[in-house]
Amino acid sequence: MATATDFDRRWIFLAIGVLVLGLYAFGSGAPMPVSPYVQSYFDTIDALPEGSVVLLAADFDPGSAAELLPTYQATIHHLLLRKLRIVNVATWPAGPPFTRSSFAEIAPQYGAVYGSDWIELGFKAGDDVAMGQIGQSLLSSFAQDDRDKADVTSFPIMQGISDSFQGIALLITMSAGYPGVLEWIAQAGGRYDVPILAATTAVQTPDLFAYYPSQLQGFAGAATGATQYLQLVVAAGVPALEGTTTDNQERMLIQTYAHLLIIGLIVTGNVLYFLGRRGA
Amino acid sequence: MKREIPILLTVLCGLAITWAFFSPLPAARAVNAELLAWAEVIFSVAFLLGIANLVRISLKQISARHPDSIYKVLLLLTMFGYLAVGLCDIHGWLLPEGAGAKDRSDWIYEKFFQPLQSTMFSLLAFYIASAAFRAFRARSFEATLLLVAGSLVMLGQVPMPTWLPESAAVGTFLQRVQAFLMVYVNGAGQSAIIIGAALGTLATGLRIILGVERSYLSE
Amino acid sequence: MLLALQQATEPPFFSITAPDDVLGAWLICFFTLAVFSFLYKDNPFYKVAEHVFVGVGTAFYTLQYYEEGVIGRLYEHMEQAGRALGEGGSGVMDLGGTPVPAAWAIGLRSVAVLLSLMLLVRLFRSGSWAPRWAVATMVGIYAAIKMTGETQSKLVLQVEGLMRKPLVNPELASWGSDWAAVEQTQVFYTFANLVLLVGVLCALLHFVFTFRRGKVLAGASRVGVVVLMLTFGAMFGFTVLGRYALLIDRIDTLGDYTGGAYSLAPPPAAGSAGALQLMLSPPVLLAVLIALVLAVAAASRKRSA
Repeated sequence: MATATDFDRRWIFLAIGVLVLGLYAFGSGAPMPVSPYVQSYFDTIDALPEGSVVLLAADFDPGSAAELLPTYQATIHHLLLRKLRIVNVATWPAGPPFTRSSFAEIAPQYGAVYGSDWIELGFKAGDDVAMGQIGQSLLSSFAQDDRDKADVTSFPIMQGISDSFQGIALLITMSAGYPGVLEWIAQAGGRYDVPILAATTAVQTPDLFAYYPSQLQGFAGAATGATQYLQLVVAAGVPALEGTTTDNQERMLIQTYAHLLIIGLIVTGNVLYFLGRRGA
Repeated sequence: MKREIPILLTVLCGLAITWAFFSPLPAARAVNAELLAWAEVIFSVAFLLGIANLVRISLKQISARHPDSIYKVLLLLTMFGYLAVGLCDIHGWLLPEGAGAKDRSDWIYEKFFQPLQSTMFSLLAFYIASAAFRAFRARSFEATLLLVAGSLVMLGQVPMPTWLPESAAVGTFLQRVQAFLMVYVNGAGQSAIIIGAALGTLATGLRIILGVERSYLSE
Repeated sequence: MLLALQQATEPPFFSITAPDDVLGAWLICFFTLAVFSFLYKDNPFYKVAEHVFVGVGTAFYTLQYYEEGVIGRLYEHMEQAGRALGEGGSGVMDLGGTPVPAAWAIGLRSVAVLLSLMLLVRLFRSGSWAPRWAVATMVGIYAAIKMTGETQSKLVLQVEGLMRKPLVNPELASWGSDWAAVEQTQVFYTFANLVLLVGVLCALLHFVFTFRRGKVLAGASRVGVVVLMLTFGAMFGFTVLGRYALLIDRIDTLGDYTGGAYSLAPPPAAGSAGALQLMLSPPVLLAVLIALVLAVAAASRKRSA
């Protein structure tokens, strides 16, 4: 009796490739219902008064950009649409390039002015230590901004911000792993009582249910959360994201068939295993 | 003294940071800020150790005419090439007319690093499928629970295909089951793991700060 | 090739300022397909991609840490302190919101420089005592940071959050006959939160090994194992979700470059399908070339075997 382990796994790779390519070429998408924690992510931003300062942390890299970049860009759209001001930091070295490219594309659509509506402070080394420093004193942590290399206190957006997260209404992190949302909760949320929102990869999302809603005000987890949040932002009045939203909805349907295939493989593998044991 | 001084450094730095956590005094904040800056500097310089090690191993393999030595040459060329471009960007040397400060290194990052890292991670999708077929066995009650929970979550996170009869109702049902599983059952397990890990972190942290734990000093 | 490419109006062949360029598109497609070729077997294309990845990645992270940790924390700090000490300077530096004499700021930061240099001794003499001082400093600082922050958020606030879980929500209805509404009812709400609280307790009791396991502890441990297995199953489900999102994104990226602007073929005549443009676009052409090379290599290995 042939067993699952005899089977050349490259046939499985081929099946996955054909399935994903075929669905990508011929698939379609549909709107998804919104989970309460994604709705909470959206509502928390919406509830902020105009002009509030938000600390946005790009804590991800290209390996997680597929899940986090859509939410990151949608969050920037949402914040600028609500006329909120954004201070950008990153505790992952790969974060600042995403910040630069996203703001280069999005900021002109809202007439946002660098230094008044948003600022790029760049990457801070040290993981938990970096977060501790940012929490203790943002102005001491970044002597200069990342773009113009000018004194950080010379920018209008930094006026009114002082130590211990004073002047910062909300912390939003795009978290791909360590350091990320869990470390922000430990170093910022717990110590300085600043509200935190997070977008995370699928691998990290299950961890967040223990923190919501006591220490985390909302989160958009995995590609599912990203799609749901995009839908909300488009409905709020951001037509620029309609294409991305449709793309994500189509991707979610490809995911459906991929998951059905995985479940089918698990069941088939187990059937072959138990039949093999009975025959032995 | 070779071990005593490092242990003393660990104890002093650890106690200083812990004191700063509880104390509102300006002196505590200054000590905390300076020690965190020290950690950042040492952390950053430690990266140079990594790059030096990589160069040493690669040069060793090239001189030994290892079968992969041509690839090691490529590795060193790309590494030093990007380092040169990056240093020019950081210090503003040879900046082309009309280009932003980081445009050159961002181009290399977007065309080389981004697709490579993204694709490396995406290979896991194939290996998960292979593992699902070849290795995931419901050999016990607990393993069966794991597989059933995984399947329910996989189906509950995605929309149901429209060709399925009553797809909307099926989708809603799976989402409700998945939501209960994630919020309450997974929430319970995660809380337990988090609390247990926090107790462990507290115990280990205290041992290190009080100088009881010394394994980090052994070579 | 250059002539064919120049016939495309957008994007440029090579530009560091434009959002996209043709050379970049070909590089992205080559590297993506080279990594995917590993699924067949290890091959030179994958080896090239792997080594370029290590080289570029190492350089990228080194540059980031150099800019932030060395230039930012050392050079600029010392420069600022020097200005404060110099003519017309205030004589003080801000250290975490506290003013400190500039000379002290320089002296204290010099200790970090000394420790870093001691760490670099490892490059020349392994087994030396000098790097241990830097390692010990780092370990002390990180242990304290982790301990204080995580005890508060992951122990104190977690337990507080669990103890404050309300078992009754007055805003909910008591009963519901509609399945879609059942999670909104009081009965379900109370049941679900009891599951949460009992689950946490039992999962924690599973890790208690201090006492001999009697019937109660063994029973609670069993329930705890069930909760943990369901948790791990949920984590596995999300892991699958995440991995496939990455794969679909890569396919999407390759799909973006099948457009005519990147193809080696000239734009098709009006009314024509543009099959040649598709065939000579980066992802299709490169995939065919890589597959051909690997097939020929496999065939020649078989013949010589």
